Amino acid sequence: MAKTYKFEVVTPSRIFYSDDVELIVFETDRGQVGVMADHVPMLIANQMGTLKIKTAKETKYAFITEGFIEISSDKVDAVVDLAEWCDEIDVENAKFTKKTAEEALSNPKTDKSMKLELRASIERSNARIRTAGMMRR
Amino acid sequence: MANTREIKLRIKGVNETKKITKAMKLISAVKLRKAREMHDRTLPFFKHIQETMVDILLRVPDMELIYFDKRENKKDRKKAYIVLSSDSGLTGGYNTNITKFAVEKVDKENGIVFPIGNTIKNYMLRNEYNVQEIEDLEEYSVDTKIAGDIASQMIKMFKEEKIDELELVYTEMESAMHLVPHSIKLLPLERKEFERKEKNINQELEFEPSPEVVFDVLTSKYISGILYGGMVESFVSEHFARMNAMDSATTNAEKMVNKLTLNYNRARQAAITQEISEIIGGAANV
Repeated sequence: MAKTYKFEVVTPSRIFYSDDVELIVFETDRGQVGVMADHVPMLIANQMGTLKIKTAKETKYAFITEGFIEISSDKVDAVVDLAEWCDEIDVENAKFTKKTAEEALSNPKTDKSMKLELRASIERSNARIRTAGMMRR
Repeated sequence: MANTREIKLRIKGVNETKKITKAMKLISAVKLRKAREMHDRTLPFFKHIQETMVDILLRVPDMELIYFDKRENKKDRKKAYIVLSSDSGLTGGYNTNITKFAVEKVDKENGIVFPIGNTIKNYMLRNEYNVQEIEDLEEYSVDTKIAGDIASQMIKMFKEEKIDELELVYTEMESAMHLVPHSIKLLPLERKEFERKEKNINQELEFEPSPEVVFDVLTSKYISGILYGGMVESFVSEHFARMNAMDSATTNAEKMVNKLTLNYNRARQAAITQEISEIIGGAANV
């Protein structure tokens, strides 16, 4: 059995997760990063995407938005704006949001700042759908 | 002598108003409690962010960041204020106090006002202040997402040097009986806010991709955190003020109904007495 450490996911609306884990994997702009026990203390800005949490009993997936991961000597904290378990994600809704955003994006009348937002929205929906797919594997 | 029917109508009217004020009081009480609960749940998140910023600045103290730039030498610096008031009235002294406070603070020549809430917006527009609207704020509610939106807009303007200083003007509930207008500086950040003596910096800490990038992420969250705190305080104050105002309105309505009932009974009695004396008078004449 692998060594465990205390891991917490903090969001504005609640403390999303707090338990002893063996491994977490999250996404950054340079690729995926995995953290096991006794990691060097580090502060990492993470990207929106899938967060994998492996405990002694099970492996869970969650969708998290951008924020940062703080690794200290005795525990790890993820501080993000939003976190959802993969089975909480409303895939239909995400697909719908993606579709409407894509339609609006192809509309020539949409201005520049709006386009930026729409792209972010598509990105968000994609990450959600990806994370939801993890559950079925 | 007042007409009994008129008085009766009046009593009915006052009673109806009383029902409304009572309902408003209850609604405010519920909203107040909910906002408090939400605030308590959010607190750990923003505490965490502030502590992390402290950690970074301790390890990289001489980081040159735009967020600390005071721009003291710049000509006609633009000082901006976000002022929080309520959308509707019937809040006792809540709106008057915050408006007075804001008027003292804001420099009419060089100040920019970002109003939140109709009361303050209308006042500032009427008095020809330099009012700018926050974008996409049609549906304002006390929400971390909205606080985040406002914060990122403000940071963008700060970076583009459209504003050089930013203060938040809000109402704080100091004690159960005391609502006090306050202001708090959001930008530029003050270094001393992040100084801690008791912290040890023996522990090494690495940053990925770099301390600047991580700090950047943190700053917007930090500012939206303060903003959200102010929004909650104001919201709680507004509903507390409304609760009190509606409470005294209900008491006053009760008093009024009592007085009117007394008048009504008197008028009724007077009418009866008059009728009797008329009958007796009439009978004596027969």
